[in-house]
Amino acid sequence: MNGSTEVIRTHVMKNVMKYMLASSFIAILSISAFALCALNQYHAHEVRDMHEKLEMCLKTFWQLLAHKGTDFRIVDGKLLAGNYPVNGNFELPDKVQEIFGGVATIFMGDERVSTNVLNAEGKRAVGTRLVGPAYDAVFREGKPYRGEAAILGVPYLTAYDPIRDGRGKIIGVLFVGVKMSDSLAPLYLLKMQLTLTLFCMVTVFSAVIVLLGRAMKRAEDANENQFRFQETLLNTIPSPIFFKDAGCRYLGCNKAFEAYVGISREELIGKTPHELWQKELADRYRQQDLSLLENPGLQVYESSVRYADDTLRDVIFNKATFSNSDGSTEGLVGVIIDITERKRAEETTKNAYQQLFDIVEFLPDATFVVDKDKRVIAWNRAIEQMTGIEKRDIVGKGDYAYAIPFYGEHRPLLIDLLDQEEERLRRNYKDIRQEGHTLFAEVFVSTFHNGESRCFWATATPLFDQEGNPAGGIESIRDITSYKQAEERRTLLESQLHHARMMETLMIRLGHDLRTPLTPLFALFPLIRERIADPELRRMVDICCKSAASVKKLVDRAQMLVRLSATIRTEELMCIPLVSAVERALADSSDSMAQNHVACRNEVAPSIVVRAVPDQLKELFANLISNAVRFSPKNGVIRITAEQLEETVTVAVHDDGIGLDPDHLESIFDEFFKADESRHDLDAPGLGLSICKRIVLNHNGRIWAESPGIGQGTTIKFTINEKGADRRYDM
Amino acid sequence: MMDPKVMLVDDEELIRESVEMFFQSVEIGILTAASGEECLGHLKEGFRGIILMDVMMPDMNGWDTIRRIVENDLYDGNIIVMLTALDAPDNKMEGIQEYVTDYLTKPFDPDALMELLQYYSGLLNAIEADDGQ
Repeated sequence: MNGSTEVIRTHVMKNVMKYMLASSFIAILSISAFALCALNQYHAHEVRDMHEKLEMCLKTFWQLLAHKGTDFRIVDGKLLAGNYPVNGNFELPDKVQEIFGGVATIFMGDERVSTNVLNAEGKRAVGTRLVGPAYDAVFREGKPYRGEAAILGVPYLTAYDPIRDGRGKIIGVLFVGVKMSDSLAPLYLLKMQLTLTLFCMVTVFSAVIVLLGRAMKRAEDANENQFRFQETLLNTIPSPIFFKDAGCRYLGCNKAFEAYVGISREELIGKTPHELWQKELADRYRQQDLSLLENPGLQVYESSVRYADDTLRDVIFNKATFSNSDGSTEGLVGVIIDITERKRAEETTKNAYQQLFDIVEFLPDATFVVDKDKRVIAWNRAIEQMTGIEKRDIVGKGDYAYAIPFYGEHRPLLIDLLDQEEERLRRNYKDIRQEGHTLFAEVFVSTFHNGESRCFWATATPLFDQEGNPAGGIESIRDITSYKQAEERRTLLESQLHHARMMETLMIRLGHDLRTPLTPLFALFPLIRERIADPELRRMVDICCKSAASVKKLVDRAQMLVRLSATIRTEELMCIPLVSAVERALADSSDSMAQNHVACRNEVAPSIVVRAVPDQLKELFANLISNAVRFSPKNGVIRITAEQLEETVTVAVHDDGIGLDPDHLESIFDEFFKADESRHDLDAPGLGLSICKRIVLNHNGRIWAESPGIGQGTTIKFTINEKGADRRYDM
Repeated sequence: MMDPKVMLVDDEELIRESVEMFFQSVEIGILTAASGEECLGHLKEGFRGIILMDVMMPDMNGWDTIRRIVENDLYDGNIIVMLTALDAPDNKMEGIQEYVTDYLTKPFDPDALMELLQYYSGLLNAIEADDGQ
């Protein structure tokens, strides 16, 4: 609002200056006129005195001349007064000079014949003639002449009277002159100087006034322009602006303020807040105004106001005092800045951040967020758990504090490298990838928690505000150490699987290749045996037959094992009554049981139904029974029982045979395990229990052996799913 | 008992020879073929009976041979028993299972073979008798 004050001030200034100029001009003019007047009066007085003196002088001259004679005539070229010759007779002029000073001359005609006027050589200027206005007045007009004249370069006040003869004809002139320089000259000079000064002054003054007038006009125009500009400027500002005097009365406002209050500027000017708003609000405004006026300077405060259109807005009042030239506070200027939108935006941003933090908080990956100054503003639960550092100990911290749990020192993390070039990143990270603004990196850290080795997978991305300015960043860190280890294990398993497949192919191939050469043996041994009468040779052939049969059995078992190593598909599973499966297996083994004089009791409850691949279940029981038969004593009894526990059935095959060393309880299920290493029982290839184990595992069951000790019998137990069990096999 | 007519198709000479010797010992006539082509040749010459067919043979395997038999309308009047060293059926038999009546896993027990031959020979005779009516 300084501009407006300025405008007012210049207005006042302008008028004051005009007034002062006019006054001084008038004063100077009056003084000069008065001085001139006084001088003139004085001069006139002096001149009158001189004239009186001159007249007296002339009169005395006449009287002196009259004493000589009153009859003037020219005789023989000589002027006579009565009989008194004038020519060359200087008695009278000298007498006049003696009495009055000055000069005196008697002219005969126009020729000086008696004078005390001296010429340049210092001699009496006799013989010189009268010229100029005096001559004209006397000789042409026949009048006396009074006036100023220069005699021999000296100004004189002069008086010329004509001398007439008896007939009235002008025959000469009587002259007296008083030297002006004596008394009037300084006065005259003064008058001249004064006049000149006055003239100069008037001229200069006029010039000054003209110039000043122009300058002021220009200034006035400039002021006017500035005033208009400022008014436009004020009105263009969308924020309400007002100014008040020291008494809190409105001095003016802009258009925005008019809109805010709902009244025009003209109506506003001169009003107090109490005339515009309710008492409570007006009191508050007045209070604020007064406090500002008491402590001049700047006052800023937030408030909310209701506009004339009845909208409630959040605003900031910016008020400042303004003072006049002597420094005293004249009033205040205020700007009301509408911050409703800004507040709303701030609120939105705040909400957005809160939402972000809420999301971040529950992210499963360890995550933290930093602001643009790299200070931690969010630190989620997962990272609290990972690092053992709680939110309250890190939020608000900068200076790479977030790197400490990982590296044990303040150093940049991925989040600090967001603006780096990819090439530079590659130098720092072996495995790093950039997608848009986001960085992905795999990092091996040997300093985690002061010395643990961990493998982390980190991703960092910058955050931007609504205008697209950088606002910080977010980094997620996942501990992939166990994943890495699992991956290593997986790789190992894959290579093992590959190896196993190779072995499987080899087994199949080997089985095939063994079967072909066995075929002639099987075809021919019986023929050979029939043709041999010698019992010793027969025995030899029998041994060969048995060996060939043993090889065939081995091949069968090995191929069975290979086949069993394939995963069971769900559609292969069937619901089988356990008791009948056992029954069939017993029927198949009846010969060998009879040979070994072993009895078997099927004690399985008829209600139990299991889910199994029929061939495999049959094979399982065949192997278990054959195994039990082999180790049973003569007249031994094998018992097969089953117990259902919710979804699983535990089957037990018990014999009262030779029992097992506790050390062998586990190893009996290994391929080619034999309790007695030195014993090569051709009938027992040592694959029976490993086939059993394979089948049970294929059905997601468990198989184990129990034995109180050597000679006390053995129980092989396995679990298998009950028919309703909902277990997937083909995963 | 009717004399069963048997043809053994196997690329392995030792097998052909030993099986032939076994059949001679039980006085049953047997025709051997070292390849699918030879088998087809015998069929074209009029052989009808039980064909013991090895699966794995070079050039034309057992399955291909069966396809060719069917394509040449030589199947009727025969029973095919596959001789296999692998104990599981493989996927190469896709579409021709119906022409395979049984499987015999190598090495086969001569008594079991005889039992099987007699069973299928009886079956064949019964079919022939039906056709003859």
